[in-house]
Amino acid sequence: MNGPRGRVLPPRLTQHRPRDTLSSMREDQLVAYLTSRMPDARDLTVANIARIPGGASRETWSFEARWTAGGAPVERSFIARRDPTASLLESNNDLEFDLYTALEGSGIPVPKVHWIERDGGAIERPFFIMSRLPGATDARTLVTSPQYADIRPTVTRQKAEILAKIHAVDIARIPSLERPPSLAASALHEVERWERTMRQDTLEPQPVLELAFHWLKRHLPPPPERLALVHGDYRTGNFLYDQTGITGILDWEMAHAGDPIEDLGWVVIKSWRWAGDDRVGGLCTREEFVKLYEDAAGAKVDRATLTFWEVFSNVKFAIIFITGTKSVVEGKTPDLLLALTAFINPGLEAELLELIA
Amino acid sequence: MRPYPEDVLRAIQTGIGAHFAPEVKSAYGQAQFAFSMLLFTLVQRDYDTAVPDLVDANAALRALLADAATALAAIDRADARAAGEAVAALPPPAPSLRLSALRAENEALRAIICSLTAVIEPAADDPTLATLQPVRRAIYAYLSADAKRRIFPILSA
Repeated sequence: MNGPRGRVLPPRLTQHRPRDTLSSMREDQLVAYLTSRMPDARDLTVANIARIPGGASRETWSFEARWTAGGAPVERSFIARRDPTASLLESNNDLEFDLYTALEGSGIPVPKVHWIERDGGAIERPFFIMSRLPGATDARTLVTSPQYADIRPTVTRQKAEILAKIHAVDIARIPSLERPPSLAASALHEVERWERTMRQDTLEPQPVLELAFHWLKRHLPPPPERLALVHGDYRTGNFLYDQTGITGILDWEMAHAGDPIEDLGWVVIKSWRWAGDDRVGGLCTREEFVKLYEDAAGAKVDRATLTFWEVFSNVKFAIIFITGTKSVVEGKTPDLLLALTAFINPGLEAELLELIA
Repeated sequence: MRPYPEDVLRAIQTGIGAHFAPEVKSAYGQAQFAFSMLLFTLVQRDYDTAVPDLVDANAALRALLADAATALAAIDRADARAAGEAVAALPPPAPSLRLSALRAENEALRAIICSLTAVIEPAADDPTLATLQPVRRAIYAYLSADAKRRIFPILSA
């Protein structure tokens, strides 16, 4: 390896340090990429590159770009979503990109997506770039801070209304959306998908999850009336909010076609009770949220079906962390969040045993 | 001799907090730092009790499996007979108190519990599996207590 003057440097001094482990994203990479996508932009600069904490399935980076177009200065805030070296989830950028594209103008607040790169040459791994929406995601601040007390009722109502809108989307508009083989098999399809993931990724016997899988297969709900767009990770903490209410719905990596009540099951699990009491998502009671959703969707929610999806959601959450644990144990990721999340599973197991006893 | 390993862990945690935390400027880096502190806390929590916890767990699992063997023997069903055969193949006790040996025994015993779940779970409302109901209650109670013992309130930390 040649150094600046052609000398051979020892490996530890070369420029080939493992950038993956450093989780870097460099200004020159982004400038070169944006310039290639916006050839008419002049004097393009990038600043304030920062990795956003969380996002255990895909790296999220924010940055600001300035350029001149037609003699006028332009300034934009962007988000880059990049594949990680290892993740809690097996997911692909295409689905998230396709969803954001399909939902533009639907009334569901999502970021405007600009470019997707599947080979990852520009910034080391596959990624896509979208506009940055205003607002914050921190769940605990939203549900506990006096600053947001006035807006919480609005956010609660919007959370239910937007979910109903998501479930009303025509899934034919999203060809890359994963679908079950039939309407009748939609619940079993999801159960078997996550059972396969558990068997593939677990490093130890999982008696509680085995019990839960038997319970789920014996309590399959009736088929939904139609296949809906299921967000798959709809919860307080995965939407942006500000003093006006919800400004964006994020984290669509687990979206698929299925039973819309699956999303309600995810909403109500104990893990999201950020206020430390029984309020789902830290915002309202379970029944209040279901009623708000029913009013917005114009359909009744079968409570036994909701319980099925609540059990399923706890199982799914536990398996996500089993996958993360495998990545940590096999040394595939430096992300300490994945090591920490493994310790969430005992609480999920205790909750599952109460639900299925 | 002192420092014990747990003393060293605590010293590392304190040292990293004192020397490195002020240098971490990015929000992402600060989050990773906070995760590392929580992981240190978790390791210290489990360090001292790891061996007795596994010894107790393995004894409890063997007792549950003995009760399950008795209950399964009274059921004339193919799946119950298969479960009975799994229970009959108990692993030998761990040859030492090394964590690796105790963990291997524990995983083998939990794997046998897994093989029982196909008959244990439906026993709640299947009359042909009624004799398994007391074992079912005991297994659920054990697994619940074991899970609660391991809970660390991460999402609220």
